[in-house]
Amino acid sequence: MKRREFIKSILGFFLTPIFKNEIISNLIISTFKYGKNKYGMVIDISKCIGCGRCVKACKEENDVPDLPFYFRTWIERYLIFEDGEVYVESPNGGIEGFKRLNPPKKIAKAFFVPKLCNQCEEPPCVQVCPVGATYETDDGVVLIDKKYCIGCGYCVQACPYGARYFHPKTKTPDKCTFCYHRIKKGLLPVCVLVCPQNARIFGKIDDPESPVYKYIKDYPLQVLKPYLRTHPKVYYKDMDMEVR
Amino acid sequence: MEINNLYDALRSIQGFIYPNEIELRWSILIVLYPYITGLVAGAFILASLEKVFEIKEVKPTYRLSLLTSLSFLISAPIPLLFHITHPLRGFEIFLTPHLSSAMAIFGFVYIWYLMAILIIEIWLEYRKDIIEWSKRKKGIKGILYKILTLGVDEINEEIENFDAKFGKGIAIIGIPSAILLHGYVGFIFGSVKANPWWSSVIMPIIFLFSAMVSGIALVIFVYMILKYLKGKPLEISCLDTMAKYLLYAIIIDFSLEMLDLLQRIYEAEEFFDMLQVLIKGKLFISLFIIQIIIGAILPILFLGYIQIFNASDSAKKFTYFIVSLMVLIGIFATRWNVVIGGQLFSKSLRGLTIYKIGLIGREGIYVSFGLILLPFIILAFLIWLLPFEEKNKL
Amino acid sequence: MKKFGKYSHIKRLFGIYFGFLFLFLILRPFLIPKSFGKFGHYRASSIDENINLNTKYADIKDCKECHEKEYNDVMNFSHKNLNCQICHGALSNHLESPDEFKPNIVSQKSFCLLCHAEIEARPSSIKQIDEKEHFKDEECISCHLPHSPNLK
Repeated sequence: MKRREFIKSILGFFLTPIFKNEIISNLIISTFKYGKNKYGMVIDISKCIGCGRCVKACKEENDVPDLPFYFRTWIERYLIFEDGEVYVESPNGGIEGFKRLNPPKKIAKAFFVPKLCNQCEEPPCVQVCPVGATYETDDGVVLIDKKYCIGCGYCVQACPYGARYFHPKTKTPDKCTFCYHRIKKGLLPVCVLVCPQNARIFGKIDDPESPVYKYIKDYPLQVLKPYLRTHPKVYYKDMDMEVR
Repeated sequence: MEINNLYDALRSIQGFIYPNEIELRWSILIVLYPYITGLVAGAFILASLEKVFEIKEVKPTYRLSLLTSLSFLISAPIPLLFHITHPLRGFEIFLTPHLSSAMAIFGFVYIWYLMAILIIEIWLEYRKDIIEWSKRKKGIKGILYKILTLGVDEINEEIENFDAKFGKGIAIIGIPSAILLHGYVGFIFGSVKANPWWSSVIMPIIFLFSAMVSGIALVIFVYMILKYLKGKPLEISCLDTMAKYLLYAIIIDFSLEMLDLLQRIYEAEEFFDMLQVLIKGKLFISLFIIQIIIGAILPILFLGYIQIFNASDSAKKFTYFIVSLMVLIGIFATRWNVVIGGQLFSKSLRGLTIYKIGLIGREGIYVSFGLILLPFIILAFLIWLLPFEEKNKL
Repeated sequence: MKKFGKYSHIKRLFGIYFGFLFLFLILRPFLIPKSFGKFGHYRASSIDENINLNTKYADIKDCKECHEKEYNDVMNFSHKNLNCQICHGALSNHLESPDEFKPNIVSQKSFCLLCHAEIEARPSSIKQIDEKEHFKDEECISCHLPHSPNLK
């Protein structure tokens, strides 16, 4: 009898998860589950014209130094040629727009990709801060405590998206905050405000009235580097496989 | 990096990098910190060979290993203090350590290792001599010895035996402590999933074994120089044993590093194309020439030859000296390749940036040289205060 | 001659160590910032510090109240969905003291071309011109007024 019970328990350990669907569906965490009452942004790549107004406005609003090394948000241009070569550039972050290149090869497809801090739900930058100088608020925005930061730079290393930079004046890291000082007063982030094509859509992820919710429901969306399990809250519509 | 260097870097990037990646945050100071803590751990492991594993041949270098470990440990936080931009807030690591961060345990591991392991072990080892010297010496040395006795200026055989046993206990705890002191640095790099060059399970292990290699090489190097400066003869059996363990350690370390490289080449994940550009280009000299050939292959060949075929005493001494120097340089290159190499890599997997190091400035070459010299200056002071020769009881 | 016990040196050493430890534990609550740990492992007052920053871009949909003519111009043409601040820059200052802070008035060709130059990767949803072909020596505003860009 004892042997039979033992074998049963071993089989149970290995077989049970297959028959319990709740476990599996809980493993694959959906946007709606971790986006509860949190801000998110959708970027519609097919609409971005690469004018760079968002980069300019962001630098003005948030006191980002006007040098080509520091960006809270930036635009990348991808040119995919017919022979398969991919050319990516971001001249001064796209702040002065992009130039006509007239490449010798024929272009198969090309597009602009605006980038910014993805406000990850499991931010690796918060995980590695040794003193607790960066944190995620209850409404989903990752902020930096510049008065407490010691400037070790570990968070800059840990961000998979290159969203953080070292501010030369405060000598601490800095990054996009979804214009937290604006959204808490009911305003929009400036990059969303000044986009001439409405390529950036902002709102609460799980609020049915919010445009973000509608985009999530209506279109297939992607996030950057999903395999790193950071659960970003910036979603890209019409993102090509070449985008990193 | 200063603004001028940044403009230079902007002109020299290869491929595409995220705009914020132009500035390399972790400079040569962050190469120095793992290097120095590696030497601390390695020198301590060598000392514990005698104390814990009772390998008698290395007894002449027991005290020297401990003093070397201490002098490098004292200088270890200095590169960090120079690097963080708000050093006056550095104490926040003790007040509110964020325990999900590997870096947060720096404060505790450092204090534990310094106070509970190294200081106690050195103190117990030297206590009998310190008590004698406190009675006989005058002047500054006398005062220092009196302070070091903590007022207890008598010793007898029973207490000596207790000291020896307690010291052995501390040395036994010291081995995992030394492993933690340097292993957590490896984990700091190995746990960064954003960086494919760093993110690896084997990173803490590689750090540990290269630390052991560099520590043993350092003690050989310092021992030979000190004996030469004092005009004293070298105990060849001690050197032979140290060189033997150095050879074993280099073989294990080299195998681990090659295993890591081989696995990355075999699995050839997304970053592999950029990795090839990096190691065949910017990192070629520091990886293939310095780290692999000078730091590992040549030492293995030389030491292996001596192990198998033997050689004359003077040839051995010369080889040991050259090999220890080569290893020290090779392990520095290892740290450089990990820290700087990993940051040259863009996370866009499409480009490489450059690292421009200045001469002057807080993170420049002059400061780095100073920081490498500092532990030797501290060591000189410690040897003046606590001579390490067994027979020197003046 | 004092007589020391077997462990007195160890006791003294650990005495010193524990002394430092107690000192640290006593001082620690005074050194940690007060709002630390309220919501998580961070200084809670930093949230307010992040909220209380100046907004330079104003919360305006249009500038109808003071600039009705321009508003009517824009609303009839293809620039009607653009926020005024895209071309005129941050307007918070101007809203507060309109005479002190005058906004930008852009008229250079280079500005129009930021959106309207024909470059690689730009989707056709926006009207674009090849700057080498389309009246390359003339200013855009000779024919297209920014508020009513359809041909004069």
